[in-house]
Amino acid sequence: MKLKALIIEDNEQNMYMLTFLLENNNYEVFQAFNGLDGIKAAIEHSPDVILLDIQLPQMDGYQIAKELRKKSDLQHIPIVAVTSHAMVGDREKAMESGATGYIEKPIDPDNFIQRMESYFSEELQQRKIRL
Amino acid sequence: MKLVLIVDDIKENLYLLESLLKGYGYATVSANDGAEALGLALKNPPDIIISDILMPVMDGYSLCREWKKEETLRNIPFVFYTATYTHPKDGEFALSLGADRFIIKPQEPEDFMAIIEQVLSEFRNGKIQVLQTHESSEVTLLKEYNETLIRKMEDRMLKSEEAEKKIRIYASQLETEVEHRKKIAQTLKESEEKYRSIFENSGIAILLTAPDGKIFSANDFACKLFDRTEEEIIRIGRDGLIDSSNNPHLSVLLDQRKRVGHAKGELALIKKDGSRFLTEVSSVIFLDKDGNERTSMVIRDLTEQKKAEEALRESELRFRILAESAPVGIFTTDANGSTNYVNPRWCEISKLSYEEAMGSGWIKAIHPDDLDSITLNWQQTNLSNIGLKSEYRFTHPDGSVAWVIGQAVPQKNEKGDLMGYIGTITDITERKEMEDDLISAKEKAIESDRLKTTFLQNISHEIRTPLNSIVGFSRLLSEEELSPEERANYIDIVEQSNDHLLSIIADIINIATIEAGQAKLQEKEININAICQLLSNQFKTKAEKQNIALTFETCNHDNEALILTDGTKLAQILTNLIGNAIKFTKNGSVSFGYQIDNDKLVFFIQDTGIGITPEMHQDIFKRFRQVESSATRQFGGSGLGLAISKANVELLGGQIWVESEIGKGSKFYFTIPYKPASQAE
Repeated sequence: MKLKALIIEDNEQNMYMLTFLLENNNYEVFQAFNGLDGIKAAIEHSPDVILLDIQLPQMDGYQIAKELRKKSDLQHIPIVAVTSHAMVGDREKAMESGATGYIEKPIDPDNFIQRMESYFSEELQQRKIRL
Repeated sequence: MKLVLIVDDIKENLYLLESLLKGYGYATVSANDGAEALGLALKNPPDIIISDILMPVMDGYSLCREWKKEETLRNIPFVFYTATYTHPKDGEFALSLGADRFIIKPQEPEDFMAIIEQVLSEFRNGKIQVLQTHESSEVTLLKEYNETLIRKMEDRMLKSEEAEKKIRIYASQLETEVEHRKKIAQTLKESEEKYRSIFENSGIAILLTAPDGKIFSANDFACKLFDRTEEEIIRIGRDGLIDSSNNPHLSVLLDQRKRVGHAKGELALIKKDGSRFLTEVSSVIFLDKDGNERTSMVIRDLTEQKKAEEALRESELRFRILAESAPVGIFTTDANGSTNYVNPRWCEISKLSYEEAMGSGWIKAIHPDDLDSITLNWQQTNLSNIGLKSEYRFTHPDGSVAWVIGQAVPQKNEKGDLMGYIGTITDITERKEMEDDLISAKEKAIESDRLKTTFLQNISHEIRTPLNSIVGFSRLLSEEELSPEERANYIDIVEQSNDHLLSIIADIINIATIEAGQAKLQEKEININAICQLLSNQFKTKAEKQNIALTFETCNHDNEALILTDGTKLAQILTNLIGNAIKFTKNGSVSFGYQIDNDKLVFFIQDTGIGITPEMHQDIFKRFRQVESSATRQFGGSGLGLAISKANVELLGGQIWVESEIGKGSKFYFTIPYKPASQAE
């Protein structure tokens, strides 16, 4: 049994890299290349964590986070914004929209998983350890 | 000469009869009563006796009785002449006593004398009847006599009472008259005192004079004015008071007074110390109670008034100079707000003439948009009594506009009545322009700041995205269990990302260079057709990948395509525009080419992409500007491409624009000068 991660990201290279890192760390990965697909996937798969790019076509990351937080059965899922929006205020904007954590690009592949998991709830961390 | 004895107790009667009889040639002898008459007659018997009836001591009737008893007298004619006849019986009684005639007063002198002479002639002719002794008894006679006398006495008393009553009425009338006269005298006295008091105490100098210049009287104020006593003034006369050498119109005034009776004018007068002072003198000719011509001179000292006038003139001049040379526009109005003065600066600001500004003429120069606020301000000024400032515009005949700050304050007199308004206008056109410039500069700065922030966010994002791949995939390359294909793919990703990153950095440097004004042209002979063909080949793969048909349309021969320009920049512009066209087109086609238009080359790049809204047709060429906001941008890019292209086109001496419709596609045009290489050489 693996933890499920949903990646919402439009850049193929980034998608590839995040998928690579998560799979290497024993996650089951679901991919979505835009917001709408991302929300559908979240409802369908009830992932344990969502990695969310901010600059996306049509619906941006902030809007996606808000939409996800509206759904009661998805509210507990940690959402980690992974974004190249690294200016002052971008983090606050992401957190206000409903993100649980915030990781700037370029990511450091060596400690990316560790940083992501630091945003997990106690219960989720325990579950991860037990697995 | 006949002797006449006259008996009367009233002297005037005696005198009258004496005069009358003497006039007719008679001698007279007079007695005041019957007793005296009897005595005189006995001593010297007269030719005739004329007697009154009522008399003291012995009355006429008694006298007549005694007369007829005396032997020596009884034949002398006896005549009664009386006014106290009241009863026909009186006459009868008199004749019964032996009287010859009974004459009633008054009688005309001629008639009276005729009777007297008739009586005397009757006696001469012996006609006189000697009185017979009375048949009637003494008692009857006495009784009758008493009755007659009493009647006469009563009658006289009644008459006397009547007379007394009349006298009393006269006396009372007299008394009233006296009282009335007293009152008039009192009023006259009071009136005289009043005028005297006015004369003495009025705050104005008055002289009473004669037309020839003689002075009769001077009041205290006049004495003070001339610093002389009244006696001195009277002594020196008018000529001593008037400085005749310095008063050219003195003779005119005197002449006028003589002609019309009064005159008024300014005269210089002299004080005791010789100093001169200006006065206004009014003089009137009148007649005094004796009918003499007299004149009055009322003198008003004009020294203070002249000083005040002078001060006022100076003050007025000062304020006029101030108003005329003030750097602000000044205006005044009456209480209704109707303009009655503007200074030259006001005219200069409004470009209206003085005449045009009068009344409500100035309103036509006010900018129509400001009329309401001026009216409102005026009303508030009226309500609050405080001059409120307002900014408004004058529109000049040439269409230009002057901005002013206007302010008007109500002017009131001592009683607090509104007299009008005084106001100023200050030309603030320059300030307004500066303000506008500042505001727009501030807006530009804010916009610029906002655009730069957006730009930095974009740049940050655009740099981090390829950097993410470079860092990430370089790290993955170190994984040992990679297949050769994966490894090759990672290396390819890293290289692509490197290229992307480099192109972004190049863009940033480009725009920085252009912004710094350091971009330089390097003109060389190039073949446009060759450049276009090269670009067409370069983009072919990318276009095919997106299923887009890319065509280079040319109808120009190579000999025309050989021109002098900066080929690098031209290629850069075309690369950007073709790249954009392919980037923003999902399906359809992209075509590009150029035409020669006189001295210009007109390039076009047409796509069937998403199109651009009309309001964005200008904005897309601005630096740091992108068609869509950064977060939802689908197509990536630094947002600098078009700005760089525009800068480059302008650097080459041309223009760039776009024709586009949402959903149908866009057609970008740009021009560069057509400089055929053959001509240049």
